[in-house]
Amino acid sequence: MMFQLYKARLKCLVRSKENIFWSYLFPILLATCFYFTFGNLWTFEDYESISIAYVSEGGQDDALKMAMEEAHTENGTPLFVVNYTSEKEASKLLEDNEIEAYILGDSDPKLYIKNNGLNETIIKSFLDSYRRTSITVQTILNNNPKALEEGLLDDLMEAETFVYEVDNGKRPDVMLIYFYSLLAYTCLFASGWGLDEVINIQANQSHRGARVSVSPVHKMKLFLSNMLAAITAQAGGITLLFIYLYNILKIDFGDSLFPVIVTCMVGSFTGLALGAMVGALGKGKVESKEAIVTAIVLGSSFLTGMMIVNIKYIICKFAPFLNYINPAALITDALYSLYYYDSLHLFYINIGILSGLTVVFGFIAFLGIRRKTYASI
Amino acid sequence: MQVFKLYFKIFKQNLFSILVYTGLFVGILVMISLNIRREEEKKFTSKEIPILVVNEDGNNNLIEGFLNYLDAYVTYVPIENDEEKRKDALFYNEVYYILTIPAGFSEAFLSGNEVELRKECIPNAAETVFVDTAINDYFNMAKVYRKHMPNLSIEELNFYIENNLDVETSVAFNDNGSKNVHKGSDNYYMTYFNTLGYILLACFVTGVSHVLLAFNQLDIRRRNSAAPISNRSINIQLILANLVFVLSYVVVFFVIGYLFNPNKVIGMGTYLYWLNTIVFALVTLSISYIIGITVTSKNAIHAIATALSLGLAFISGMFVPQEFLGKAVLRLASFTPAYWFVKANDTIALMSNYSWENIRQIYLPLGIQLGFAAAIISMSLVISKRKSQQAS
Repeated sequence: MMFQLYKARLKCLVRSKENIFWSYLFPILLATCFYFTFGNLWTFEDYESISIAYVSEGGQDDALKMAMEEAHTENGTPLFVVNYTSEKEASKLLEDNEIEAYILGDSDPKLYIKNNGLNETIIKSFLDSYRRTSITVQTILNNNPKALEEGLLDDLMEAETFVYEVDNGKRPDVMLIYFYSLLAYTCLFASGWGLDEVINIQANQSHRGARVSVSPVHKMKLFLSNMLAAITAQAGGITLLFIYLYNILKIDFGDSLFPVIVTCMVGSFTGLALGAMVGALGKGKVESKEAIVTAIVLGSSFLTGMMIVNIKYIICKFAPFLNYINPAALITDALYSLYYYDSLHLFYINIGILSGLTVVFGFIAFLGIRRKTYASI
Repeated sequence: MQVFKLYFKIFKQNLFSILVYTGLFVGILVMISLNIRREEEKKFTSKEIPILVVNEDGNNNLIEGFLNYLDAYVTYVPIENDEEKRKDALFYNEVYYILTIPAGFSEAFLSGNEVELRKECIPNAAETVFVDTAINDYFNMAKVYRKHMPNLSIEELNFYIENNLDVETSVAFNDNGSKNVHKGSDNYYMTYFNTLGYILLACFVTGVSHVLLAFNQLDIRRRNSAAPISNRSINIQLILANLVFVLSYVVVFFVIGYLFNPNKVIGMGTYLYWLNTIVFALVTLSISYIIGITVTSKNAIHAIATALSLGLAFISGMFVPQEFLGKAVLRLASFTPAYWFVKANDTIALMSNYSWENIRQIYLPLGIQLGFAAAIISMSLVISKRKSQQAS
């Protein structure tokens, strides 16, 4: 009997093709966008030379001019494209956004910029290091006139690296927070399914609920089979997303997959229970309940850093307790701790609280829908 | 104007949910504004990168001099020397960098042997690169001095290096740098309006489609088709009603932007941002409209709203500045109106004055956005017509 109910409800869900299509597709679309955005971030592979102007009275042997022309990135792209102009012309070029900055004078160069961005920082640190080097040369030559013959310039060119990264397990990776919080959002998106199921058995909320209420089937039995059907449909979406993230985008989920799958499952149950709880509470309109569920899910994902990762750190700093009651943060942190830490300590804490929340939500939902009868609707 | 009035009747009935959505998005917007302010303030105190130094080598002149030097770039954060605690600190960004000076480092360095400092850090962060450079600079300079002036004492060495580092290139803004503040297009506004693009998309797709769903039910549609009002008139009234809805929200968002702006200045730059935002609001309205009349499942609308708003926000530079995005991503994004919205904002931020030539630069991005809006609205009119002729 129960299996019949389950099968019927599952068919019902799957036949709403629009719903299934978008619920399954949207996280994959988003993951793709994240991937494209962060794939290129922070790499200087397509570095473009910065256009600058240089205003100087110096002649051919201007050292700064030579240094600027010779500077290039690791793969050979010149650092700057230098225009030689008068000061007036340079100012005009800057005004028209033809160049990013101009440099005035040679012994004590001054940098003129228009706004403060990445390229401006690059130009400034280049000039700083040029000037420091030239002072070093002067000081050394004053004290040791033979230094040039001893290869001073070569030594200056040979910048060594002194700091090396310790291979200490996994490195923290901001990009992963975006993908993990997307997975968390998708888990909690199950709240939509949970809400539907509760609405569908409450006689005062939907026609179907009214019909079901007069049928000779135990309401809890029906409700549980419906919830099972919903979790099955949700599991389909999560599995698809996970396969996409893990096999196609090659997102790192740490060494063992089992706890990751457990997290996704518990997270989906949390979403389902959350939706059911909101659905069961109060006599408000369905639309209002939907709005509340959406606000909770989107809001908690925002606080987890799905839109702007900085928000996560602000919460950690100013309101750390929020992270322990925010389901999206719990799922994200559980996944991140699996990736980052060797011990499962933090994972257990997160997954424990998450399960606790799920039980509480579920219990409230249960109290809300049990033994309800209607004299009139 | 029956349809127009009806729209607001439905609106009133849905007032609670509309208020919940408004609360959500206003809340998000306020947090984003506070975040922008924090980031902007941080820019002026960039030398305050929190790092942890684990000194296993003991105190000596070299290390003291080095740490003194580094103090100009970083803030030292004391954290318990425990593996777990250190990992936590990096995980929660309490420190960006953990530097370990191994035992015997100073001796090896001074006798010219190969040396290594160890770091654990947040990878790919600008702050990390900054600290790396500062550390390498110091020891490279020290090495050169030691080689060519072998009799130098460590005190003298530190003195020279500090002298060297006092040198800093002076930077000036081309035309009075504070001008940016007066024209009302400072960095705060640029970031604010770029992220506002996301809020507009998410808020309107959810809100507009919400009300339109009511018109979309089969029986209601049939009833409306039988009424002596043309399909076109219904659509135009609906679009007008939506326009009122959207524009009143936009005004609220402008006020929030102003309230949280540390400079509280309104100028020509601000007007241009407003104009661009209104144009983009028209685009989002058209997108919301076409979704509202084609999608019938509420869950699907939420899914589409999330995918569309976040997806466009990421690839077109609303959250991450366009200058950091890859060329291929930007090329893809340029086929969406969101890209042109951000492009126009960035262009406005770059303007140093509002000459005709400068303002003309945003005509193209504005025009493209309007083109998108017109195309999408025409498409939705066609779809609406088709739908009115369908049996189901």
